[in-house]
Amino acid sequence: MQDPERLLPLTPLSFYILLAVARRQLHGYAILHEVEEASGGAVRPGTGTLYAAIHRLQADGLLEEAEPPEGRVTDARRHYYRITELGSQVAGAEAKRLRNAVGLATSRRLLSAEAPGSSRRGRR
Amino acid sequence: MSWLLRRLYRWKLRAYPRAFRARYGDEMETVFEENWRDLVHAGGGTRLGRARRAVLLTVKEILEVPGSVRRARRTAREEVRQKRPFGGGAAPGSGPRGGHGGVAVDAWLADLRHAVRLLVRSPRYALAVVLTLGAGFGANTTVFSLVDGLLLAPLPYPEAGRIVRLEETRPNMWSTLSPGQLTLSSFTRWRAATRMLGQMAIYAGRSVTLTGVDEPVRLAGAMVSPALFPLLGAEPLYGRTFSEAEEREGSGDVVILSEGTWKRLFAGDTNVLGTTAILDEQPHVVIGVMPSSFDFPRPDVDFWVPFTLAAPTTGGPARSTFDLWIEAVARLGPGVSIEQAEAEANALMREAYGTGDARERTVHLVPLGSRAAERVRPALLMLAGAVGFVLVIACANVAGLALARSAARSRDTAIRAALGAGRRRIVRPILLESTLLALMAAPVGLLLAAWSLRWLRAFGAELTPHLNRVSLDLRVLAVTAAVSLGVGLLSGLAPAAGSARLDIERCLRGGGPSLGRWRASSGAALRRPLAVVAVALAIVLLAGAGLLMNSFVRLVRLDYGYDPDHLLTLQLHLPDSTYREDAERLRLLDGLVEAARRLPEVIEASAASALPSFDATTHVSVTVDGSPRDTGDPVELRIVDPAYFPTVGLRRLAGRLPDPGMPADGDPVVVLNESAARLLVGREDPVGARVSFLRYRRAEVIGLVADTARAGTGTDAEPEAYVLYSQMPSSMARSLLRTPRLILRTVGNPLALTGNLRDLVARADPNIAVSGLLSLRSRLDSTIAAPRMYALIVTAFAGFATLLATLGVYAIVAHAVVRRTHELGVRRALGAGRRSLLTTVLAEGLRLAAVGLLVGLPGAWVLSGFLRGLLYGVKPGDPATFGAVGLLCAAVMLAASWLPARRALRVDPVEALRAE
Repeated sequence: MQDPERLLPLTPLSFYILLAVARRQLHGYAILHEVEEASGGAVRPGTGTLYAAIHRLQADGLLEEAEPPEGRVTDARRHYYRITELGSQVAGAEAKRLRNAVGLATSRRLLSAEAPGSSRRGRR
Repeated sequence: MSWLLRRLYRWKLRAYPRAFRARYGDEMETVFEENWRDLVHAGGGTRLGRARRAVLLTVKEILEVPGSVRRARRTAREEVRQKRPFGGGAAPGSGPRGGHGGVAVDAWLADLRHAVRLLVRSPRYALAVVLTLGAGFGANTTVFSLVDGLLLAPLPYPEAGRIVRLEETRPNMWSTLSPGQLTLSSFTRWRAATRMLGQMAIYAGRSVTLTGVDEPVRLAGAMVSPALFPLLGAEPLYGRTFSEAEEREGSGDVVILSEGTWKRLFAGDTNVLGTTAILDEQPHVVIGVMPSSFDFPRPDVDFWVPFTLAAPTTGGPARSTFDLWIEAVARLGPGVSIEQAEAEANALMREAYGTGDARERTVHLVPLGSRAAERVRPALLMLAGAVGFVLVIACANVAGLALARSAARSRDTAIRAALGAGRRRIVRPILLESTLLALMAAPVGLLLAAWSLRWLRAFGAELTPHLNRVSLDLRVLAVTAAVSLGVGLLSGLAPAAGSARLDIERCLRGGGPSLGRWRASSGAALRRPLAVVAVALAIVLLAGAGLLMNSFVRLVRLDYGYDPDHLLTLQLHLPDSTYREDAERLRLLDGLVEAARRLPEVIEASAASALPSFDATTHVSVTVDGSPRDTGDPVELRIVDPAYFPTVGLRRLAGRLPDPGMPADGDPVVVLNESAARLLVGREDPVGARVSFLRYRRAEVIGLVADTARAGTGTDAEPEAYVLYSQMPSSMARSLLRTPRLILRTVGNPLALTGNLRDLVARADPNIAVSGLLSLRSRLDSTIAAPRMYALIVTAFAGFATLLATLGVYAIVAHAVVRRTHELGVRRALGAGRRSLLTTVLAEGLRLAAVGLLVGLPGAWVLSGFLRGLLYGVKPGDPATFGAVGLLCAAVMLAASWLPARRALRVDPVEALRAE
């Protein structure tokens, strides 16, 4: 089994994808939706970017294809994905890393405790 | 819409590695479609909001391509490496090479990012360029689709290049009346003897009355040889096509329906096969249904019946004086060229009919479709030229904008150069930026083209019957993509070259490039010729549009020689079983005309064999008594009743017109029009001359009437002879009396009477079919639909071109005012008058306009020669049109210079000097 730490840090997109499929298997469009929603609209990948990331996650063994949920009639072009064991570990490790970063930011008064916000995508 | 999107998306997918595409392509497409649907269609909000979301999504999907492709590639490479960890030297060996390539690619990507950033920072510039180029592409793609569909694309038949039309010419005038046709006698001989041709088929238009349905319906179809279907490779939708035996006379009446007729009149019921349809009172067995894709010989053909031939006569030269001119097609035999087949046929003709005298027959083989293409070719080539100019102007404008932008950015560029960016790194973002803009404009253009093609298909049916063959296809897409890349590079070249030569030191020292000496700056030096080119080309387009409009207006206001307004027309189709004798037909016709005359709002009513301005299709040979020539001249015969002349309003020039009281058995009389009088008698007043029709029917010329102009094309009037129904020899009257036309002159809108008229006919006899119930004016209008379409399209192009050229001039003058603020301020301070300042600035723009006019007007004069065939009543170099175009252009350019000039007057000298 690979060392989860080795794959850190995850890109925000990969992280949000793993978060999206953490609970149940989802198809591509649902992932796109969840990523947008979970990130509050900050991460809005195009289809190419989304699938390049899915490709990457599959290659690294963090994501795998899954059967459609039971009782769901679906067309053949639609594929479902779910998180792997390794994926859960890596996502957990990434979350831990982010929590440390948040803690640091709070202690340096960059962040008031009640309003967590995304600090990504700063403009130069 | 959706197919276009899908196609564009697949095009995008091609950028990705093959394995990636195979694995995720379908899925990505689904996700994209769902996303598009939810965001753009189901998203709600205003139309503008939806359009904005559509544009944003499109831009996002385009901009993400390089980054995501790079990532997909990297993952794919690593996957391969992981799969064979002991794969020898391959994996480590690829390192340095890949790394080297990576640096180059990264530099490209960095430049691309730089270009994107620059664009995002100036959205107005990006929008202006994308819209300008998009409109140019749209117009080009539309016209290219037309050219491709109508001129370049092969006909929709297997090996269509081997199908030829058979045409015949004879050294007599009858042959000129049937251009591109063949006589039946030549056809039968040819077919019996040929070794060079495969299947041969003839066809002719045929319309019939279908009865046994709700009310009698007129159907327009064709009589065709059984061989036509295999010749064209056509298969029926249901049933079968004609067998060879069905060509013989009396071999049983059969009919094949078009899919449209079958659905419209037979409810699309397959049980119709084998049943009987009553066509012109003859039972015909329905044996097949052809799919709607088969539209030979016309797109709106309703049915096909066999072209029956009398039993073949053998031996001896054919001497029949009466021969039928028909259309004929054939398929070349294997390995046979057109020349070989033609030589064989002409040898056959010489053998059968001899040479030297008036009986000589020459035949030609012409590729099928070339005749139809010939008719639209000049117009399409003109449109292609015009649209090319539009694209050039759009490019010139975009290049001008890019130059202005790079001049404004020169300080930025100089800093990058000073920091060590090589020439390549300076030039590349500029080229990338313009390429990017051109690529973004391509979808805009495709959308525009899709819309305008839909519009053309809806309104341009009269333009050409084969518009349904025109569509946006992959080739058009490829051409647009190539053009957009080329345009991107071209429009970027000028500013790129300027930036590469930039004088770094001066740029950094001064506030901008050469303040006060703006004319020397790289941008301005090139922008002026670009603007001049745009103005000159816009003038060419304006002149073309002016000529076409002028010609179109002349067609609309054409003096037809009578009053074509307030005339209602219709055609009657009398069934033979009820009306056997001419007398019965005449009685019915007289009764109908009399009843029509009593309708409210009707001023006068009459019957005639043909409508004024439209072809009567009946030509007879007429000789004048005492003429030294023994051959007659072909004159168009129009059979009318005496009321025809007052109904139509035909002008009498000499003699008298027949009056209603004229006895049927009296001396036959004829009225000639001017052309016929000139042709037959050779003098102005033919009254009193005696003529004979077809050598046996003699008549006295009692009157002379004005020529009537022919509908549509503006061709010259034909020689016409008017003869009374009551005095026609029965052999000729019979065929013309079966399908007479009624013409009514009304007080108000003629179409208000259509219901009354239908009732009137139905009350007289419910078995009479009525067709063509239209006002004469609307018939005439439909014949000038094509010139109107051309005039409108070219005017739209010219308007767009003029707008672009004006904007170009405006931008240059406005730019000059900004650049010269300091100078203008100084001059103002030194006491220069408003007039002098105004003149200085105006001169800036007017010089451009003057040079543009000097180049453009002669250019337009030369190029207008190509319009000759499309103009009616206007000469290509029409001075009035050219004068108007010159004045219009000067006025527009003056306005374009005036706005910035007024700003120059408001320059405050104190402010201007303080800024220094």
